[in-house]
Amino acid sequence: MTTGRNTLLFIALSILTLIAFVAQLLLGSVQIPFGQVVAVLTGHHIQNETWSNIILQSRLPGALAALFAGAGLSVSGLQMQTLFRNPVAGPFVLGISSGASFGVAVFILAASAFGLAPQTHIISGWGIIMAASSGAVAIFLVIFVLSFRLSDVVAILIIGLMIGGGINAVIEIMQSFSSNEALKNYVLWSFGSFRYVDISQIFYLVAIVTIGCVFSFYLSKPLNLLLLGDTYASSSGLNIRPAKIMIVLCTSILAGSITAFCGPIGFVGLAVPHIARSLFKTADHKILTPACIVLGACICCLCNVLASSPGSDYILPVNAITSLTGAPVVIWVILKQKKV
Amino acid sequence: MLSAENMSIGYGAGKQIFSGINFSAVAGDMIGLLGVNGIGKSTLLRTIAGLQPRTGGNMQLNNLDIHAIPAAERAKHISIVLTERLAIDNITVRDLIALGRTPYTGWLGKLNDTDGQEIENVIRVMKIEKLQARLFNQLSDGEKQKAVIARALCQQTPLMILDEPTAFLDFRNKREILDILKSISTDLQKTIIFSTHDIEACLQYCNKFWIMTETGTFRQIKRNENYRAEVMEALSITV
Amino acid sequence: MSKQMQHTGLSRSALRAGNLSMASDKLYPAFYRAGKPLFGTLGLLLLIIISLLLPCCQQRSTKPTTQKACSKTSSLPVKYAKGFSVDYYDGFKVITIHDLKDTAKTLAQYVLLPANKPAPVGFENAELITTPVHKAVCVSTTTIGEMALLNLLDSVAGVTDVALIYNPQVAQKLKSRQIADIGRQEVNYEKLVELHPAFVFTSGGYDGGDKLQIKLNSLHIQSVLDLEYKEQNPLGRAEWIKFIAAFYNRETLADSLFDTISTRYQQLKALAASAKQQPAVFCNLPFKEIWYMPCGENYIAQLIADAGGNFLWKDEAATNGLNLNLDYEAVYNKAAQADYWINTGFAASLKDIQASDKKNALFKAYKTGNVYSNNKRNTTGGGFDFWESGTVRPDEILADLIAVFHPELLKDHALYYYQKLK
Repeated sequence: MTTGRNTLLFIALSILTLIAFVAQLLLGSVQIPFGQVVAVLTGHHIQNETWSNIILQSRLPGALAALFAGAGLSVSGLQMQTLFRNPVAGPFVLGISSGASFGVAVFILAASAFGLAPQTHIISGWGIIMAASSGAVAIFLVIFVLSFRLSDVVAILIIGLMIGGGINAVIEIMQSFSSNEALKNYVLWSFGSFRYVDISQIFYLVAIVTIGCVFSFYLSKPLNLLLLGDTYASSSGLNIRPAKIMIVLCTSILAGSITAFCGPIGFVGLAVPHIARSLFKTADHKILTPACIVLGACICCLCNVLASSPGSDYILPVNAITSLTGAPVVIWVILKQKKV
Repeated sequence: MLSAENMSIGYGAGKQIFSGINFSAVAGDMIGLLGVNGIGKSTLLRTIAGLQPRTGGNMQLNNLDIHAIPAAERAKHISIVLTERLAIDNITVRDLIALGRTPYTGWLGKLNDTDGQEIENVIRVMKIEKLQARLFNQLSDGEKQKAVIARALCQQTPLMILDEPTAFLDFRNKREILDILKSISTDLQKTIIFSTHDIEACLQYCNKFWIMTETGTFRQIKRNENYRAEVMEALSITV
Repeated sequence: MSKQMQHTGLSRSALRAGNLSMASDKLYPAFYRAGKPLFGTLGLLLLIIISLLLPCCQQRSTKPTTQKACSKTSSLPVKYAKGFSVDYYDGFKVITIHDLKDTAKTLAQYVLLPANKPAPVGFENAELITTPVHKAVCVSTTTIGEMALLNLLDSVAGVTDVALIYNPQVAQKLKSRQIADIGRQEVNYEKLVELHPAFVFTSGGYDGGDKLQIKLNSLHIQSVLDLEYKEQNPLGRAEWIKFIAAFYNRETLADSLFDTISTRYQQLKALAASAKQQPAVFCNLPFKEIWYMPCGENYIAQLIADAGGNFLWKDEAATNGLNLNLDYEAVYNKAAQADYWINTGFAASLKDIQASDKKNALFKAYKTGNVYSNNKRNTTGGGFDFWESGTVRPDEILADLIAVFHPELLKDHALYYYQKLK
């Protein structure tokens, strides 16, 4: 049986994730000697307090954010792909990311367009998070209500995409009315960033993602059944409507909160489930869910390391890195599958 | 013991498509459902399976009104095989069959020894030992059908409903499937209801015939002396 | 060949043609009646030929004048600015804009001369602007700062981004419709055309990339580059008031104003140089991943240096325009123990700075409360007077900075552009 192989694979991935996580702490635009980093992490006091602060206050929260965001987004993507029976579904499909972007756009751009006080230009951490969450929740509620009326998932998918498209258009209009400063701030937010999740925020992000992932374990059985289609799932004893609602709830909470804290992070939700399916050779969500968690965490940590481009002055947007690594991987996975 | 009294089927109060349905079935019955295209065979099967409500009349399975019980409970009494194609990547035949154990597994869906035993049994009955480790979407049509039936069988229900299980299969596969279904109904004492257009095969295997006539009446014909003629007559086929 | 000249030529020849037909009327009435159409046509032909020949005559007659006019009589003395020069000729003025990286390269040239004068030979690539110059449109607040100092606000026809303009007089004139609001980010071209401005002061795009410039060209509206922001030397930047003044014949005023400003600046600079220690300084606020920091050459960096501050990146060359793309880590690593934090954008209080990113509170400058922002004089729409009138008053900015870095040297100075954040 492949259980042995899967277990080994899991262990290997976990080790890789640990390495990637630690790499985020070791590497950054400032070079800090390995020994010093270890000393700080193991609780020793080092002489250079600046370095200590950089590691604990700047790199550590960012590393945790990447770890948990990667896990959450991947699980969210897995659920989306199963729910919609669509291999290119991701957290963005339901328009959740657009909703979060809309909330932030209103906060940053519209305020500028209406000539509101410059203080609103200051991107207060919680201000943005609240705005993004409100936007994501608003869209989620729309989709939620729709899912009561429509049982056809394709219809919900299309509506989600159309809402997303409409929102993007409104954001563009707001952009044309806002000042350069506000525009720049909005664009910078849309690049996504793990490392600038604040220390005060990281606790909430970790808590929400943990709850979401635990919830998703509980959803393994319904998700497995949904693979068979609604009719077979129903005849196997699944209560379709409440099951779907719970899945939409779980995925929205994960995707929405992560986007609120880290900005829109592309491709992770889409690519990681495919990689997991290909590596573990199973469709069983009991295995895929933890696989996605570990794989997603690992990939995001690695992308974060790349984004901080250690040794050079250039900051690369995380969003770009995840897309650049995600896209070829998905293509490779699909080609490999079709060849067999 | 499945029985129906003056049942009507359809899609809501205004859209009744067939009425006056009376039938009875016991363990060991292999029942063929016949009728022209569009008469409502699939609707009837779906209604019996509990997938959609009946629009009138009564129906009972082992003294239970299956339309009034929750899906999880119903799943222990009725299993189905449909015409819709399953398209799942990366699932092995064994894993697919294991999904049939859903009504009996816990919230995580973990399989215990009983489940494992049952899966083994089913694989043996369906004669698909060689297929169990292969990926489902790489099987031939006949093999896929066997796997899907195996999943339904694994659900261990007294009643199994199949919608055109032998359509699109070649002659040999058809015979094989019908043989297996026959043995399931007789050896395992299950009630099997299936719809088909292959009247000959139906006449050969089934011991009961349900016919939805073009005039809108429902006839149940048992395998007595004159059954062949009766069936043909009900189907308005002049021999 | 100006349109005015063509008009004059036509009227003269029309008179001549008219006289001809009148003469023929008296002498040959019969012939005239029969030949009127013929004479009419001939007269028209004559008109056309004469009007075509006239310019040549005129040019021939002005040739000696242009040859004389081609020699420079004097130049405006410019001490610090490298981006412009003003040269005086007999009867006209030439204002040239240079590329700062290569001052021999001309980015634009304007010839200012009265309406009835011909275009001088030798300035074929220059753009002609007729004097006296009437009203201009300003699209940049720095231009407004320059115009205001020269008391030229009455010569402003229209402005953009009203929300960003600090000068209260401009606000008044907008209310009384003396100055027109011609749009925000996007210029309202129809309104602009209606104003018939002498020209529009634009901020760039000399390589053809500026959308505004291209549109102005297609609308045949004159544009004039105002590139003071490219000068990184604070005095060089302020000296551009002489550039503006040249369009309005206020060079003398500009000269004396600038004299006062630069003298005071030099005095303050010398005072600052006498300080024994230079406190460490850093600036700007980060946004998420990016912290833009001025490079050593940058205007801000020079101000800090002249104020006796030790700007921590003074030796770094730019990686992005005139800034460095840093991140929190890189800045914190160098500036964790810095004494002063200046130019923190829109932050109105220390709380704002912390709210933007909790890590900002780790800087010593934050902990000791030595955070000073140049947003004391701000509009609600986000306009900074620091960049408006501050452009032409570097002496005031310098005084502010010295008062911040070395309070003992300027005890009685009240901060003008800067405020200490609480």
